[in-house]
Amino acid sequence: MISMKNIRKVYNTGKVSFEALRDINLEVEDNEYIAIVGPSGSGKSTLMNLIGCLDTPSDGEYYLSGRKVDSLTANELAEVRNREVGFVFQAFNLLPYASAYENVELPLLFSGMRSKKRKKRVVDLLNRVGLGEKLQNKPTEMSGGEMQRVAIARALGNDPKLILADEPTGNLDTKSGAEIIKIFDELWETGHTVIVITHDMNIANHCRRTIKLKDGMIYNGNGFPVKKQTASAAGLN
Amino acid sequence: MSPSIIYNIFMRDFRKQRKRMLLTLVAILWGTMSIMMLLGFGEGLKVQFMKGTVGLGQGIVIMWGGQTSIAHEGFGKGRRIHLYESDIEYLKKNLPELKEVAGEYIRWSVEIRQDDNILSERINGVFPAYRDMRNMIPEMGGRFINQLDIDLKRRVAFLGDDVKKRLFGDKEAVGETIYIQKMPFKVIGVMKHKVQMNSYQGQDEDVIVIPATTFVSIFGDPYLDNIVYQPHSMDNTKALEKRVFEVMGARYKFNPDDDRALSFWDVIEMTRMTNNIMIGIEIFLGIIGGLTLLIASVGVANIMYVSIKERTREIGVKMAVGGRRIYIVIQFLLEALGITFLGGFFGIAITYILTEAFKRVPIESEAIELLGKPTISLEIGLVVVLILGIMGLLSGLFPALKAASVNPVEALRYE
Repeated sequence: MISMKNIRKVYNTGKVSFEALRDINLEVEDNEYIAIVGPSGSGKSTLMNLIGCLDTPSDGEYYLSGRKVDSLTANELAEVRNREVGFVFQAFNLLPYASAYENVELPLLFSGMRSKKRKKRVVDLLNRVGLGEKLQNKPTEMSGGEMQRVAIARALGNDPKLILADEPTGNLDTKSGAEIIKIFDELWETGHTVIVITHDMNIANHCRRTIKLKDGMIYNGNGFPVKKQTASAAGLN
Repeated sequence: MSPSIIYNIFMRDFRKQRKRMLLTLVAILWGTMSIMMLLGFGEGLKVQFMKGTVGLGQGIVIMWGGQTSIAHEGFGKGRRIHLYESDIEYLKKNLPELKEVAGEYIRWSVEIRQDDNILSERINGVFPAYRDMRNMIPEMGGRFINQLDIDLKRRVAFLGDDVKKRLFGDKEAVGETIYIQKMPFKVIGVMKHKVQMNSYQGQDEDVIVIPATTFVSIFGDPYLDNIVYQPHSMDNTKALEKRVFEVMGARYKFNPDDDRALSFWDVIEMTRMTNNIMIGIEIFLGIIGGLTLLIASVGVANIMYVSIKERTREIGVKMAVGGRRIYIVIQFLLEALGITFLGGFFGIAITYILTEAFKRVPIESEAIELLGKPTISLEIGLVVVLILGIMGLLSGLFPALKAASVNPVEALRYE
């Protein structure tokens, strides 16, 4: 599903240039359940943003589902984000004045789904995450756990194969966090590829593979930076 | 690109941003209204002013006899120059530049009686040409002095509209009899009301006009009070004046350079100057209008800019779930346009309503009479809305383009 070769990401702010990621070589197969871990500033979010096509690499090649996406136009990237990827953020990133229904509906509006079909889909998704009773509620009227569930329902809108979550339980209490993890487990069991950035070792243990990042590079299990990490070496099921 | 997507996004956002949109709309409404009213009342003032200026008469010069100050052909200084009826024909014959010439007799405090009303009023003895030269237009159902009245020395009277009210109140005056110095006169007409800003004997609405020949037979005045002439061309009235001095100087034997011998009131020249003042006022109002517009525009730009800055995060979310840049930009554009045109429309509508209402309020004040006929120009309104629209558009467009050009990651991080 994902094939990254020699990916590099550099940020240039005026005179200073900062290399956030380098020598990233990554292979992910369909239906994997991966945790990305590492200290602060190691480039986890940067990597996730590249995988999710929220950002483009400075160097290297990235193939998503066989398609070369590292040099797509802005519109093409938008389409990838709309149909191929579902993003879940730590800060939820819901539209604050819109209801749960309207938030989940958003990606469906952009993909041009017809009204009746759209309505059915939104209701189905919210039911699936257990919020069938809260269609018209606004984020301000919901708990953190509920908001994240809305975000997940939104991410699932156009049925993407890839689900990306950046510290999804970071702003939640333990109980809500556990509920969210349960949903990710279910998503993986129903065939999605799920990649989660997390500090929480509990979550990492739910996942079937762990990628460790430090200083912008992928480490193997014993802490030394390696140039290439194959799927088999990472202990894939 | 799909119109239905744009429509859907627009409608969702509209409900959320209603209050702010309303505020922006009011800003445009207010800006439009202020400028239209300002310019409307200004234009109305100009029109009334112009009307008032010609209230006295259009394209005329009024001439009085004076006193010589230069000895000439054996005559000494300080000799009074009088104007006689025969001068009228003389001037007509010798000055082909003149279209019309007429003379006027004036007498103050003449006893007038109507039924039990006894008043003391001003009487003018005039010629028929006065009607058009001095803008004394009769109301429907009446007429001015005509040549037959002059020839037959008829005892007929034409009333100014104000003196008519004082004599007859609201009753019909035409056909009735009034007594001028105890002699019966028939009222043949009443003057149509006019705004008169200039006068040399008092307002025309206060005068009673009778045929010049009748006047002389009653009061026996040997010479005229003044002569009024109307040239064919309104250009170069100063040169014409010199010509009059020459012609009259030849007749009455005074030095044509003696500018005390006759005095003139060049209404034409005065009108020209008044016009220039009015143009100056118009420019002034235009500048004020422009400044008001600018302030309103800055207000709109401010509100739109703040609005978009605050919605950067929202834009990031939309892009993250796959919204294309163009949708975001168009959405903001539509918002800006919608607000502008709605605000402008209501601004113009309210202006029309207010000015129409104002026109209908009966106010008895000369100041209000000048100010009180605002002329709302639709062209001005449309230009105003266009300018505000452009400002609103630009102030909404540039931040929106900027926000949409930032990559989603940064937009999401924006606080």
